[in-house]
Amino acid sequence: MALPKRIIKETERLVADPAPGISATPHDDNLRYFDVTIDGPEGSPFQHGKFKLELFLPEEYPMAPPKVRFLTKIYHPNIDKLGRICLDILKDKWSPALQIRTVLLSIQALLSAPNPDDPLATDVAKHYKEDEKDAQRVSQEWTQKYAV
Amino acid sequence: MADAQVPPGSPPAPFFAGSDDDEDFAMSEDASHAGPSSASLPQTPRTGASSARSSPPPPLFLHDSDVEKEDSMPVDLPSSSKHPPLMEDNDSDIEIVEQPREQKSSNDTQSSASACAHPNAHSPPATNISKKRRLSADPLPPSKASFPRTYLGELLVPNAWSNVSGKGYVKPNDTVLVKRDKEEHISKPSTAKPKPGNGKKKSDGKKQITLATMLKPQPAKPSKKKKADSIVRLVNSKGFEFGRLPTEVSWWIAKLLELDMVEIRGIMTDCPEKLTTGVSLIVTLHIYLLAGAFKPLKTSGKDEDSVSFGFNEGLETEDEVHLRERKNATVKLFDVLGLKPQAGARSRGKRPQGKIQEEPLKRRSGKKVKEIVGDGEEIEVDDGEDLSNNDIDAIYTKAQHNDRSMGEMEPSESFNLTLRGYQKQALFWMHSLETGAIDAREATSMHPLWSQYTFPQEPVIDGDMIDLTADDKLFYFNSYSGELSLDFPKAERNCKGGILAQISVSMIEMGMGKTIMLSALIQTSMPYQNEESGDTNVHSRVKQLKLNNAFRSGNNRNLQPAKSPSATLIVAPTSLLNQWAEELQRSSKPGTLDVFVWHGQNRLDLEALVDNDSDNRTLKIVITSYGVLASEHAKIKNSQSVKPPVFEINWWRVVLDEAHSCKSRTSKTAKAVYALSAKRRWTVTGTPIVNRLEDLYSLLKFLDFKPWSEFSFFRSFITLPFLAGDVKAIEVVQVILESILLRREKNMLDTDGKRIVELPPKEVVTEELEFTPLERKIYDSIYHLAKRNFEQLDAKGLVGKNYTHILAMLMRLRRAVLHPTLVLIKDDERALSPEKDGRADVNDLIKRFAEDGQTTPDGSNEFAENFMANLKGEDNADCPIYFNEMEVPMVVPRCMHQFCKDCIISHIGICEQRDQKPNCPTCNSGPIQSSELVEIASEPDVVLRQNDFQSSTKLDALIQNLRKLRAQDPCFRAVVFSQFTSFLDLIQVALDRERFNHYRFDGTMDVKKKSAAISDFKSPSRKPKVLVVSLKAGGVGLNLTTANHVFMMDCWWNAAVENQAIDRVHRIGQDKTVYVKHFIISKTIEKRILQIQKRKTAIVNEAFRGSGKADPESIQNLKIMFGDD
Repeated sequence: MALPKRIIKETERLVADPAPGISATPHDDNLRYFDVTIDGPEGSPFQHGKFKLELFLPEEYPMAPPKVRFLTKIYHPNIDKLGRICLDILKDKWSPALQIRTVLLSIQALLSAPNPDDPLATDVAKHYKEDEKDAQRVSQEWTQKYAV
Repeated sequence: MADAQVPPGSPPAPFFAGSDDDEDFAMSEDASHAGPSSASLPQTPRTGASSARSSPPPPLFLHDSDVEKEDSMPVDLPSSSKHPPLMEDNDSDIEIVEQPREQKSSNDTQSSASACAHPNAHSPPATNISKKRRLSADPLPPSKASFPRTYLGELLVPNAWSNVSGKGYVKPNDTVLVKRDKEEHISKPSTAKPKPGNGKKKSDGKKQITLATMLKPQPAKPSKKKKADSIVRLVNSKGFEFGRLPTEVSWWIAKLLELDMVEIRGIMTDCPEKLTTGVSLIVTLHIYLLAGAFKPLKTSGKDEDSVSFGFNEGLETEDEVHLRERKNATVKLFDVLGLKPQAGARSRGKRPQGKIQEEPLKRRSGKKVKEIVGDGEEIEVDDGEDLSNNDIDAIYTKAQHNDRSMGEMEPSESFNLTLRGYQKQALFWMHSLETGAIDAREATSMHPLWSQYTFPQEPVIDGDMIDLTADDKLFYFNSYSGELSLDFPKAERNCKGGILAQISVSMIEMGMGKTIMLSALIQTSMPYQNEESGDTNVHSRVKQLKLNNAFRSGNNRNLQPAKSPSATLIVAPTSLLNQWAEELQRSSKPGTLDVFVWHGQNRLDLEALVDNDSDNRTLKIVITSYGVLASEHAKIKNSQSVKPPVFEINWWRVVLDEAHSCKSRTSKTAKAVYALSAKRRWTVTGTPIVNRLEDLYSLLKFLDFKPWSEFSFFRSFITLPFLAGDVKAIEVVQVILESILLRREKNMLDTDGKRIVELPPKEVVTEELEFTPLERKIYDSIYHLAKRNFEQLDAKGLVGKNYTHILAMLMRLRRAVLHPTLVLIKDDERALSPEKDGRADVNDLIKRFAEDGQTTPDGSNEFAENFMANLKGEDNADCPIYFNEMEVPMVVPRCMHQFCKDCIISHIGICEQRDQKPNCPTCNSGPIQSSELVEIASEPDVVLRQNDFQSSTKLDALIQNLRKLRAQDPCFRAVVFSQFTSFLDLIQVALDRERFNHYRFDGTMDVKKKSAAISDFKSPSRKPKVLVVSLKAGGVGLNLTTANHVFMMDCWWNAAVENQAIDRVHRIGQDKTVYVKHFIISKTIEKRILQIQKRKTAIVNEAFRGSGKADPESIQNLKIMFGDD
């Protein structure tokens, strides 16, 4: 099926006017599949890290949210071992007015502001809740180890 | 071989059983000799005359009478010589042997001698009692004497049988006379009933021919009531019958002898020295053609009007029986003799041997079907001889096989238009047909029904009788009618006129300009200039078939008027009268044609109209309707005295438009049409054969195309063979049509290989649409219900019984594809409220959403103004969902965020499906409902409209397309087809909402409304216009070439119907590319309908006609419908 106009437009804009610290490139053979890189936000334990993600636009997009997953290992209470992300706009708070860029920016924001109260990786969340400093240290270590 | 030649249903068997008794009741004169015991008595007076000359041995007398001999045979015969009864020895051992000459040489002297002896042998006893047996060598009637008896061939009959016993009757190489009982001419059929006491043999001693018998008029019309026999007797040179021909030979020989068509001389090839009853005799028969064979066929030509219709219709008349028997016998003769045509119809080998036989006549079911003919006249017709489309195809293909190379002709100067190439050809063809001057279709060849034969050389040794120097003599045989001719049968037309058919195989393509062609003909072939030449030419032709046409004779009396005919009468359906008048005027230079429409209450005096002023050279054309004609014709019956002028006038030319209106020959319309008197006759129709061959008859009758204009003839040679499954019927129709039918269809090619009509291209696109989730839900539930239902029925084998029910289910599905409201029985009337177009007042809106009192009443106005200003001011912003310019901007009134209609509606739909609350995608406020959204329509001014119309995928797609069209071409014209008038309603509501000018054409509207709709649609305007047409109503004559966009909302079982609809637009006069768009919803029944369309369309057509009957094919189709993907 032909790619909807909207996806084409979004892709064009992502390439022409990328958001700072974020890059998203569609696969040649599947324009619904993007390789994404998000720079760890400054001032966060993920600073200096370059996190790889994959993003897939399902058939129903934009009526349904894109599917996004971290490929790079990350120590974050809202991101599990498999890279799955717990973010409301990727689920029930999705609105068709959102787009790839806003989704990626939200993810970047999530790195700056982990929310251990709505955890996905329960052990990490516990760690963050009990000893945030130590947890951040681990996050930093992981970033050094996997994302640089 | 022999088996194949003897028809299974042919007379022999019954004849054999009953013939001997029956033959006698015809011989009423013999009654005096009849006696119960006469047959068994040897001392009958029979030998009186003949025995005197030949002194036959006494035993001869024992066996004089046939019947009882046979009966007593088992008793009389010595067991040693007992032969199996011959009648059981059926046709298996007939052989047609071409005997080598050497073998025959010894016989020939005798053969020829005996031939000479014939007349003498029988004339002496002429004074004797009236013997009604007639020898084959009867002298010819004087009038036929010009044709010498000519040898045709010989035939070996190995299983002739003896009906006497004793020695001395005959020995090998004896001459055998082959005799047939002369039939009594029965004055009253009723007397032909066998009387009980009459059944005995009483022919004793009367084997001679009386003069009286010889002078009797040629026989040959066997009364139908009389049970015919077919006894052919073998008589020795002394005049004693000693045997008979077997029935499989005698049935046709008897016929030929009766008809004086042949003379037969026999030679006894082999026989036992002593004859016993039932013993086999081998006889060689030499067959000679007599002049009587070339006698033209006759039919009584009864005026069909005089016979009460309805009862005898469809039954064979005496004439027909006679003709048929004659034909069968002749054809059989030719086959048996192995005569091969040198040229002509049968030499092409089209018909395998054995085909000729007559199938037993199938009686039709007698089921009557009502049909409408003429101007609403309702008639009942038999429903038994429908033609399949393939048959019709085959018929037409032949009729136009060499049309491409036909010549062209320029119209006269008064003709005001330019003719296309094919129209010039048509003019040429019509003109030559009228004048008879040229044969446009090179029909100077042999008449296609005829074949050429050469008389074989008679195998003679002595040669004293045969002129060896003679050239091969030719003769011609028509195996379809059984006629023989010595004259070259030229393919000819007896009528000046023809059938102009402009159709394609599926009878769909109209608009070929037949009106124009006929106008050209009217102006070109004028009465003043070429009347004489044309007439003489026709009269000078030798007509091979001369049939009394009593029907015509009635008119001839009225052909007295001194004025030579000059006016043309055009008969057309009422609705087309004005169109004819306009077209005729348009196509002629002013002042050259006088056109009168003769119709309505105040009809002018026809004779005054037509009266030919001497110096007035304008052509008079009268146009009238079938209805008027029929009512005028009714006056004839009411008052015998004066004929209405329309039938009194001898027209120069009569043209029947849509001539299938009179396809039933018994309808009042047809009778009225036949009663017209005209020099030249034309019929124009898209369907010369609507669905039965006899449809054609009516046209031929009007055209006076002899001999086919004779119903009995037509029926004998076309209808009945067709009913019996004989391909010949179709061939004959082909031949007829070839000479008088010109058929044009759009995609035919002209001499240069170009299409005869160059139409602008047609682009057909199928747009596959996806249901909205809601529609899908509705559709699926109906589909699964139907499918389950069908599968249950199928499992029980009840599909056939519940066919109608299943069709109804399918219908429901097809509606569901179009629009949910077409199937949902709910009180949601929103969709069907055409009176309001859903416009919304901004202020109302504001009020409704200002409940929280944020805006004062004053402020609301201001707000509204601002809001409207905003909408007007900027171009459509991008839709935040679609990321493009909003296609149909909609506003969420609560937060004033805008989206494409599609985007926001589907967003709401999906949210509802997921049981989420639909919020505004932009600001997440909500929940919002689709019905509260406001649409911003910006054409021509910004208008807000509430989204309270429940649309559907197809409807949206249509509107979408129309919007795009409007953007490209602000004054486009489009035609929208659907089968469902209820959907047409919805379409119109949607068009209203979109403020398109729209018009409607469907079958429920009366003529006035229909034509008003069309003319409104056609009238020029700067605004776009849309015509919504019901697929079935958009049939005859509708010309919609002003439009060049077609939208097909649904698909019909038969693609041809759809094409027909498209051809309303894509036809002559269209100068733009035609864009056709089919809307199909994916994964629905529609895809399967398309699948079925690809199957044989003809069958589908039948299967889904909704006739309530299910055949295997249609059940198969149903399985496709409900099958798994």
